[in-house]
Amino acid sequence: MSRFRTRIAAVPALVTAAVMLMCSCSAGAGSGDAGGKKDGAPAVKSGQRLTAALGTAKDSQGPAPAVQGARAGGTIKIANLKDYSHLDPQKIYAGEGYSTSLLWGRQLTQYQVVDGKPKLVGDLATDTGRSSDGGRTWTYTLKDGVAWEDGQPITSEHIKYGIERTFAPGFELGPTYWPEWLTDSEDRTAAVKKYGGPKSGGLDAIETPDAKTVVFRFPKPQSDVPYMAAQSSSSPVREDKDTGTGYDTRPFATGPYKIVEHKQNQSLTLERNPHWKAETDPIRHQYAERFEFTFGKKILNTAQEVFNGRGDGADTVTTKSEVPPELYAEAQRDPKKKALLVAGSQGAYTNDLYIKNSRVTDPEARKAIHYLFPREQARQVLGGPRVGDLATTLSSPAVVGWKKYDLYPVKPTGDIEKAKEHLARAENKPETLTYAYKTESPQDDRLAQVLVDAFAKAGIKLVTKPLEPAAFTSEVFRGDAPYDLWISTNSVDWPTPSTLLPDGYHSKLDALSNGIRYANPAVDKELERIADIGDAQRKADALIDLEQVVMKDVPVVPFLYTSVTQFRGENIGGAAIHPIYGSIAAAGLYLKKS
Amino acid sequence: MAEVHSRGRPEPPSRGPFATAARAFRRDRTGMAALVVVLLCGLLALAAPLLAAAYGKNPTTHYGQDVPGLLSAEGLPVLPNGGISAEHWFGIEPGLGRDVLTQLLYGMRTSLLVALASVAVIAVVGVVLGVTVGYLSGLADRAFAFVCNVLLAFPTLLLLLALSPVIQTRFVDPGENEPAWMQFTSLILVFAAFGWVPLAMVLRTAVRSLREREFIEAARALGASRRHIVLRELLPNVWAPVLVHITLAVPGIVTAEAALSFLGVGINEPVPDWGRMISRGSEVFYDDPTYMVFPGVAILVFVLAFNLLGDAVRDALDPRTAA
Repeated sequence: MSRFRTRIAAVPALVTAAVMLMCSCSAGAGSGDAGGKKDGAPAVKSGQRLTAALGTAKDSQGPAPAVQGARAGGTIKIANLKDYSHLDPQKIYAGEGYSTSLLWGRQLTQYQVVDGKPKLVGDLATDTGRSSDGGRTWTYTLKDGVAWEDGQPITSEHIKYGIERTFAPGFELGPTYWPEWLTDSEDRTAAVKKYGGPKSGGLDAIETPDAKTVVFRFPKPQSDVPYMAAQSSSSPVREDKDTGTGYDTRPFATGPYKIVEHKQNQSLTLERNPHWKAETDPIRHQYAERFEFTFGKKILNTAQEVFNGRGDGADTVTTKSEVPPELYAEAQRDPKKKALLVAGSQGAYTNDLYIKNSRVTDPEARKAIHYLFPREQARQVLGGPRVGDLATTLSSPAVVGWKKYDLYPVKPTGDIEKAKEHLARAENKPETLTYAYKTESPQDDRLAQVLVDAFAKAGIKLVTKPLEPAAFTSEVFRGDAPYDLWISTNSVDWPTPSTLLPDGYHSKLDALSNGIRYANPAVDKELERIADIGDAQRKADALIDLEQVVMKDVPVVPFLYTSVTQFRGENIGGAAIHPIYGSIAAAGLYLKKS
Repeated sequence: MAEVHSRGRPEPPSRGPFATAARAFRRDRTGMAALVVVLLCGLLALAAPLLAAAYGKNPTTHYGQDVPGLLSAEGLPVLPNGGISAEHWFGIEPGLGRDVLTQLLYGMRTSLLVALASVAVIAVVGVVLGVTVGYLSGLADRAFAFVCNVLLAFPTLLLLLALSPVIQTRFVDPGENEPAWMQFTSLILVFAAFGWVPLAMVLRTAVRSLREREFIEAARALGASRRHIVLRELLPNVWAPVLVHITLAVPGIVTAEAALSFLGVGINEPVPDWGRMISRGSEVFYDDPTYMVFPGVAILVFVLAFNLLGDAVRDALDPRTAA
């Protein structure tokens, strides 16, 4: 019986094979679209000089400059693969979360974006903050007419309570700057010993002389308070609405929208907040009537719906995901689909090849790695120029005061000969190096193969260690981890250099912060001197100068100023990558027709 | 022995039944065609290094990255049809730019090595356990049935998915790559550990009915030892099902191995592998459909040939269907 079945099956199978062979002719990347190539390069300008200027009190007044052509009404659909792990403003600590939470949350200050250029302005506050006493005291005044979603006014007490929460147990996930600065502590662990959050009473370092005024008193001069005041942790929280862990799924709104329903891992629905007044808000708009977030659908499916305008595709946008690599080239070829791509610099992110300095101790060996690193080929397997421009500096051009430098110029494909010269000069030449990487997708394996190839050409055996994404951080970022190299993305917490070197290159930092175990006593001393500078501009300049001293030692090899390419439905207007947060800014979206 | 058989080249024994079977097989044109394809595949796999040397390429060099003009900045082949050219007959791999033809040839080695080694272990374990238990029956038989049921209920795929990272972290020194032999061994062991069950169960049933036949009775009456009865009397009579089972097991293991590599728990980079090629093909399917076709068609033809061969072997050995 089965004799019959298989043999008859053989005929259609062979026919299928033949048809597949015939249909599989495909155009090459170089053919036919030469015209498309000229204007084909996406409008990605990663690492543009997007430095956020400080706005004045006048800039801080509402309403926000209107988006050209915008109209009100309709429901915007946001399809993301995963739900937000945190919505509690004091727990959000990621660019996209910052950006999207602007829909319902307001902070002391915030970035106003006009024509893609960011400017830090007062949000709930009338300006970006007034400092006195050499940067030890910072005063904020709240605007008139700012209110919660139930109409009650936002007061200085609410700001104070919100920041006090960052000390409390369970809030370790958020940024640690408020606890550290307000108590002058090395790290959060030391800070919470001095003050344990709202349960242990009020924090003396934050004063609220009246309902409109907040005064921060820092033991040491702090220059970056206006930027920290824009972080989600600087959002007000009302004690009577603080539902503890419940606040993490449904925070109380101060922005143009309020959360009406949140089914975890399924949907999140926002409606207009009637108590939000446009004239108090220089950043946000209230164009759409509703926002409907859905979670769980595969991005490839979402992208296909959006590109083809099927179902809700035209009204859909994604804030978290990039264009799937499978669809990218097709979207580049088809002008209609290309118009739906939203590309931009991914905030102040840079992607680098990290070298564990405590294992590759010889600077000549690290220089050899710098020269042999095949930047162009590595970027090619990651998707090509759309993932970012090749970097020569540690910090991103989006950082205040950034200077371009290229200490050891090398051609993009790497220079094996030069690498060999440096290896010959090295006192202890590494024979074998270990490269650890997260196995998030097969492209990580291919990137590893590119590196193996380049290191082999220079005579170094590269051992590749694929690690589970969940285990990567704990495996690699510990003092005695047996890995020499890894590729990682880093970003400053806000666009000044003050969270880059001080939080990653001081030898006293633990392996979680200073994972490469960089140690240079001269740099340590300079960092300690800079820490006491209260003037933001002078501090930024000093840090930018110090960066070149650090990079002379080649502690890391700069790779990319990363870019993102996202997509929007045909009917979605105002979609642009937020220059600071690096994803489509939901607060500027509108529907072209509804 | 199993390896020889799995290639479908049973040595024609001098005894009658096999000679008859060989004659029947030779008359089966589909079977002969399948045998030719299978032998060709085996030959290609064995001669892969020679062929690659003659062709002037190897499966690990990143041609597309080393030679400018082969891949676009996005990593797609510049030439149409997946970069097919006089240099690269089957085109080049998008991204890393390796040569597809040599990848295919070496990928076949990977598939065949895993399949044949697993089948060898399956045949030995299955025959020994199946025949012995079938002859012994009693407590041994009940224990055997229980073990078989447990193994059949085992989620093999999940086990492999879970096992792969454990092997990586437990048995591989942090300063060393996971050796290729370790990947192969763990795959072969897992395939073998679960693959012998159906064979052994078939043999157990066959032996149970043979046990009551007159020639066994006669041997027993003559005072033959158990060993003699199992090895000399029973075994020669169960070769037919063994042969059929292992020829049909090979394509099954080839597809299973490809599926595992597709999921990322089979054979890792840089060892060439068909399953991984197909997985890469699915990533670039919209832009470079040609790349998917070569491993897809190769696996289709390969598995089909083995299945047809297995069918033909069964037909030739089965007196009811052999004319």
